[in-house]
Amino acid sequence: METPLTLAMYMLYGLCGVAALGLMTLFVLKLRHIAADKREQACLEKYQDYFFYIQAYGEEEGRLKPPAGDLTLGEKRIIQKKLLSLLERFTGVHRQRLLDLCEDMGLIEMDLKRLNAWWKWTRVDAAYNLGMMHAKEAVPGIIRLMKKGDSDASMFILARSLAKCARQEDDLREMVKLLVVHRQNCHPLIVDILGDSQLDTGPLFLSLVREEDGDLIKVGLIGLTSHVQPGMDPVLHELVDAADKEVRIKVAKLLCRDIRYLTERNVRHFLSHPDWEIRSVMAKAIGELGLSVYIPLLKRAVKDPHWWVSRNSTNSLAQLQVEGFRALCAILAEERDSRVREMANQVIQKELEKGKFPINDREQQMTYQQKLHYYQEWSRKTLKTVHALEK
Amino acid sequence: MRDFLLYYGTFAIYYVFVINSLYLFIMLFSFKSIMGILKNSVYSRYQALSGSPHVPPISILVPAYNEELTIIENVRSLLSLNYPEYEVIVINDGSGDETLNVLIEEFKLQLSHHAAVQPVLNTEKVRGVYYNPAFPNLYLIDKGNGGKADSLNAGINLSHYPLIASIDADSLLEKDALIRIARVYMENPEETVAIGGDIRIANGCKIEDGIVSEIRLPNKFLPMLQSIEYLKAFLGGRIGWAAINGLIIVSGAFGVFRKDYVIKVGGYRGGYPGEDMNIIIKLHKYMLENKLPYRVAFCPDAVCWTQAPDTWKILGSQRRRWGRGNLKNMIEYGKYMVLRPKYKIFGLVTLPYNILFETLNPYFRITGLLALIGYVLMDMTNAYVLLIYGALNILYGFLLGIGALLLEEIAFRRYPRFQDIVKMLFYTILMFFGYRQIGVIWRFLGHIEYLRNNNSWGTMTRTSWKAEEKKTMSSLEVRG
Repeated sequence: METPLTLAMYMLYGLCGVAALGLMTLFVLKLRHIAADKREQACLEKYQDYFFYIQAYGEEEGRLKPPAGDLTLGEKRIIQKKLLSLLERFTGVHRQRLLDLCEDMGLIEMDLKRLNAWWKWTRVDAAYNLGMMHAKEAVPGIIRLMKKGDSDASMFILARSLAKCARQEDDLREMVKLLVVHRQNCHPLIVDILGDSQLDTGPLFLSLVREEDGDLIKVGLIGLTSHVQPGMDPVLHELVDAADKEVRIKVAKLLCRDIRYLTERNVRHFLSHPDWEIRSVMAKAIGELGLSVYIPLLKRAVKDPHWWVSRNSTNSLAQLQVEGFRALCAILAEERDSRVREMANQVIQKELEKGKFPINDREQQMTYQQKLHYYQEWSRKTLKTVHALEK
Repeated sequence: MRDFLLYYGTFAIYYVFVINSLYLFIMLFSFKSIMGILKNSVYSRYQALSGSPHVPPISILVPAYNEELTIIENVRSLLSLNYPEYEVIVINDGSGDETLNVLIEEFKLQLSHHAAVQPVLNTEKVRGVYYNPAFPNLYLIDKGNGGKADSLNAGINLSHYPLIASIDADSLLEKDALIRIARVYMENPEETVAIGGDIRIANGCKIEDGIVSEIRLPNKFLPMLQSIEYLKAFLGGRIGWAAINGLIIVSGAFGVFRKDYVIKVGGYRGGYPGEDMNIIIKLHKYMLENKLPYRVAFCPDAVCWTQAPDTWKILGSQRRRWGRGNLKNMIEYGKYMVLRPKYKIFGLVTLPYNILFETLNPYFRITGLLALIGYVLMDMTNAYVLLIYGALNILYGFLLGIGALLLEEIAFRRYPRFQDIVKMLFYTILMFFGYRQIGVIWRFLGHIEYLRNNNSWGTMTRTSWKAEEKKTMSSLEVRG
């Protein structure tokens, strides 16, 4: 029994060593963190007046003065952290003056050097700081890091920094291309990142829609939802029957926001489209845009086999004032399919239940009363017919 | 006989040693990922993102069974999250207390007989849906008792958005928790099927208006031990498992899922506890069988605070339930998927680890300990054998505890005081003197309950967050 016990003893010694090392690291780290917090607190107190000055004179002419005296590297970093947090809060002239101050204090230069550090996370730190300081000089360096970097989440930190630093559309385009290369379908996040740029990204989105690559097209289409561009209609019309389903749906969503596009021919086309998503988008848009003229088409769409299309159609009818409500009641009376009747009935009852809650808007109140009155009349007539048929 | 006892005991000790070594190996993956997690946590602009129109909308599902004491605070906390578009769906699972009435009263909800419910998953009969336009993103489903899984399925049927978040009614989300998880989702929406959040113990913390306003370690013995356990499991374990896409569980207390895939796998499985592990196993199975690229991610900076049981009775009930759930899942799926190359990391690493070192753990540990004790009793001069092996076990466990605390200190630093670290280290050792052994026995008893077809949820009493707050306040006052 010597061997297992001896082995156990060796293991015990080994574990003791590793545990002692871990324990030491933990304590050192904790103490360093506590000390760093204290240093930061002391530094912020020391420069409290200076931060008051920055905030009070932020909108006056001339450049803001850097803090008096020589700053240690630690102090520089703490002041930079504070300035970056102020940059997030301020806009306009005040922000520009803070950006100038960062440059005057040599903070941009300091982080440009750190952009070449050997440790990845120092480079990411520097890129983040440079992004916050909108340093245009950092663009080539950040693009280089993105090209060399891993395809992990740090790519998005770099991309956001690049979006802030970029002064030319081509830099943003390159950034988008570098992000989509990993094919992770993160298109909404890319558009959100581009939203941090000072440039007008509308033309970029339009040009992306014209690309061959499906991912770039998707980024462009998502971007165009909040950046309407002149001349985008012809491109969208070309893509409406694209091979990629996601592209078709995104195009339909964009087109269905534009009342000019919703001619009877196009509405009919979309409501009979093979993709249920597109039928659903169209049905929803009619209600949102208040297009009462398409009530007959919606009445037909309520019978759609897909639940969401049917649901959006009934909801849209309910949105189309009393006229749409009448159509719902008509469905209830005429329709034989119990599923469709139930769907219409649910929406009618939901509309009537609105009376349980106070309605403050006068117009809404009137519409509700009209709907209620119509329903009462309609149900009375229907009951009479039922009784007559029973007799 | 003596030799047999010694050999068996030695085998059990090395078994424990191997478990800990594998755990350490997984923890190394956590260390590898931790800097990325830290930087993303610090540099992702959550404030801006929480107002972005590009963030996916989420339906938050809150199953509630006899939660009258905590539900109002929790719903209020959920209604004030920093998130652009979401809805909160509370599902009253046939509570015997006033859960339904307190919610109706507090939010002036009205019964709607005609709410649009898409019946994609079978559930117990829904008695009604309550709603008030003054709280446009709050819905209350009242249904017959069918268990947590059934409630989640009912919530899915009513939900309007493509992502669902399951949250326990006794838990509090940090304001940024949802947006942090959404960021992880947005980085790879195509492949992400589920994301787990970090669960932390709220006992001892100061809670104001449903928000944890001051983080403190628990004052009581049992919650403190659980605090360490959770830290080890979530930071040491789940970050690492997620890094190799081998996560077997996303805690039922807080997780986000792609609704379409949850529906494709048939929704949550009712009838047994362990539905949180079950849904993840089913997602792995579905994606791997259909050769779809996917990931089950973990977001450690998305924090959900939960009430830990503070009595042995309730804790025992919870652990027996976990034991039952684990065994059921391994019998139902594990045995068919384990060691089959088709199931990749999940079938070749996660499941063998889980079966050998989680499900069968109580048997080896209990019998091994008894064997060593028997051996020593036969010849007291060999007592040092027990001591050496015991020390080995404790020291390795302690080392894993240090690892988890290091991860916490590198990336999160939620417990800022030096004495917090010392206290946590002390409890990391303390848990090996009785608590761990009782835990093993509870798990074993859970297996017996499973074999006896006991599928009940067990005892679970709640404490009002306000009561918890008062207790904490008075203890803080005593501390001076």
